[in-house]
Amino acid sequence: MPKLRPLAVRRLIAMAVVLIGAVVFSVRLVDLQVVQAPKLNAEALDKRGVPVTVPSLRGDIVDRNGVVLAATDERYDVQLSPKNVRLNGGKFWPTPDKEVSAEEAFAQIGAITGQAPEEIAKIVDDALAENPKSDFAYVKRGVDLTALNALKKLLIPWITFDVNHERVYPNGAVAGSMVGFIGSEGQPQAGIELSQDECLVGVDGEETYEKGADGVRLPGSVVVTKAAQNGGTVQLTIDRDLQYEVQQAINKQVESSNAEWGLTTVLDVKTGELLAVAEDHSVDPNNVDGVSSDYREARSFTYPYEPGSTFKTLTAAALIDQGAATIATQNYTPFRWDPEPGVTFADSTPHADMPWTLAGIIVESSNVGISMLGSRLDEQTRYDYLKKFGIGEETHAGMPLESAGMFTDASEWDRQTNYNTMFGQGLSSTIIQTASAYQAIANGGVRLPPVLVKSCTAADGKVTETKPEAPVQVISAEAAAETRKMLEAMATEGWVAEDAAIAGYRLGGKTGTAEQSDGEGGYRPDYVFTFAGMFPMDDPQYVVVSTVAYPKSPASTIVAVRAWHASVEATIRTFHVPPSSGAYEPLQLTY
Amino acid sequence: MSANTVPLDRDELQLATGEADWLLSQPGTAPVRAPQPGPDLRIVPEARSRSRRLSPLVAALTGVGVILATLFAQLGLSIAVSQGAYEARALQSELRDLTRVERVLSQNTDKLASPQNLADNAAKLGMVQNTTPATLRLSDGAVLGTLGGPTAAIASSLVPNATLEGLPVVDADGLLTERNPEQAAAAAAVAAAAAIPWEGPLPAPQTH
Repeated sequence: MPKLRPLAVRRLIAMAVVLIGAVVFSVRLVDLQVVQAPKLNAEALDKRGVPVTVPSLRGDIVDRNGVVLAATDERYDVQLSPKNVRLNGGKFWPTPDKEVSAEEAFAQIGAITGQAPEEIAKIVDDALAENPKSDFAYVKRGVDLTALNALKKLLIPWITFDVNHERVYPNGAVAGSMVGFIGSEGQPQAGIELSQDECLVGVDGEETYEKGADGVRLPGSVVVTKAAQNGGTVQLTIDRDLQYEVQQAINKQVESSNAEWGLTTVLDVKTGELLAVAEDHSVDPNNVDGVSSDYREARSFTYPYEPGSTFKTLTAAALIDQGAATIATQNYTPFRWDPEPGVTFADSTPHADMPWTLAGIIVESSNVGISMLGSRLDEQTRYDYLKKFGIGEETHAGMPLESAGMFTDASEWDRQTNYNTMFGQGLSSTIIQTASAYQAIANGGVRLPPVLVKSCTAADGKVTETKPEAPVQVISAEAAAETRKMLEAMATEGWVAEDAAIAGYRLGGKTGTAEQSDGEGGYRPDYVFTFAGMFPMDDPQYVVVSTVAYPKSPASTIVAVRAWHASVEATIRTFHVPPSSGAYEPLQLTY
Repeated sequence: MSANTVPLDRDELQLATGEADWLLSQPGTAPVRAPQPGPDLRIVPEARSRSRRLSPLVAALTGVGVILATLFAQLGLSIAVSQGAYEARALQSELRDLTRVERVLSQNTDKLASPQNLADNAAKLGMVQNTTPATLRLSDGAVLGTLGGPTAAIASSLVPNATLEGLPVVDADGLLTERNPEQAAAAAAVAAAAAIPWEGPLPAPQTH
């Protein structure tokens, strides 16, 4: 081995030192950047990073024309830091030459939030009494933008603000019971808000940023860990303006006749879409406490009642469809009938034995007549027809709560019920179910299950249309046309014709005067009045059903007919329905 | 760079001047050059051009200069970026404020467009409703329905809307009036009745 010169030795040593140093540093580098990196990053972020939830916006509920029925608004919480209020002896300087004491600030805040200065002072005292280092207390929650801007102008250093979302319903009680409402913590409680929550609710996002000493986000430090996704828009089939007018009409009749409650439904014949579903004094979702709990639900869907004579139409339709009768079928009709031992019923007003046709029986609304003819069909056949008309079935129109009504199997009917069901007693239905049954008659015998929710449009613009339920061919088109003739006769020649008529329009409908259970095994002495109809009769486009329960003055079907009449007029105006063509051909009612 | 300095130079120096050193280190010896057997030829190390060689001082200064320039550029860039961050923040909060104003305005429009408000205002202006409007059929110009058909007074709204509370309506003279005069009067009466002026000396709390 050649002897190394001292110089080379020194070089080698230097090289070795450098190499060892490099290795040491590399190991440390890998350790920090790779092995410990996640842990250190997390620790560092904890120290500097500020995580923020980016709240998503709840979607709107709109009517069939896109008019907003429910929207999300921002409200602002005013907060203060109790310990900072006491800094500098309670004084602060909004501008260098202006000194403000805490008491003056309380007065300034109170003037905007509507609180007394002592109230705010108490908030501070209470918070400090509980925790002398308290850094947070609410002054007032949910102030509006005007108040927020006014408070910001005060330049009070110990006040901070937070944003929260609130639901607003710009049309108030218009469709209020269907739209529903949400609770104070944002959880949906009723109506479409509840049933369509999946569409309306968004997904909150998350991001973190690092902030400097002055609170400014450090450039490039925002990390979006999850993007916020706003909720979708639910479109209803309701027309806001029609809904208002129909609600006005039913409210007016319920108030003027001193009735207990009233409902009106307008249904589009060709699509099954609900255009207006009105209930008296329904809830204003902006002020849920303004009405008692009964009025917070959409009673059109949840209140079944015995429909009464409006169901004679369905019995007649079944008879015609089965070929068991025609509109001209003659029936000598007494006032009272005892078809079987222990079974008895009578018409509403006494009359001599009358030579009525089926059409005459419908126009005169004879319980005896429809029962005598209806008995030509056995009870199972009549049950099956009512079932196909949608009685006893939930509509699945889109509300969270719905009643199927009371409709027992034909095998469970007692002898009296066997006859009563022919004229709409001994069973119950909601007004939506009644309207849906009439829609089948208006639509050539094809029942399109009612729809309330048209579509859901996601925040990214993707539209999900409501899948319509399968249509049901209830009766033949011919039977439906024959049944419509009788309805037109009723509205044109019947005793309510004067109140129903609208010049230029051919209308059809059937009255109903129904007894209701008193809940103790008997019937109440007063009645629920209904008028169920459709128009224009040359080609029916709309089914309208109005019900007024237990009116005192007048205690008459006229009240329901007036509500119906006003609703039909409103429908004509809203949808610019042209006057009818053709003319009513009078039917033979007697022989 | 360092190759130009200490170790290499010394080696070269030694190689180049080895003979002279040796001669100088012999005391008493006359500085007589020994006779050379023929020309003593060696490869002369390639002379470095003095002019191309950078002085270490200049090199160091240049290096420091470059580093300083980089640092200043970095600083400037950083200032610009953070200035931009402040500007971005200001613009973002302006955007947020304007979004808020836009939301408030659109919601005001929504509630002012509500049927309750329109009906109240129309009634106050003295408008009536044409209950069954006539229609004109374009195909043959026929008027369907009756012109001058029945009208109805506009009923005051029976459908509540809490968002309209406190909003006035415009009457036929273009003046703002109370939406519900009866309600407002009743509320005022209640307020007046509730405010009973105190008589006698002000009560003071008993303290100990």
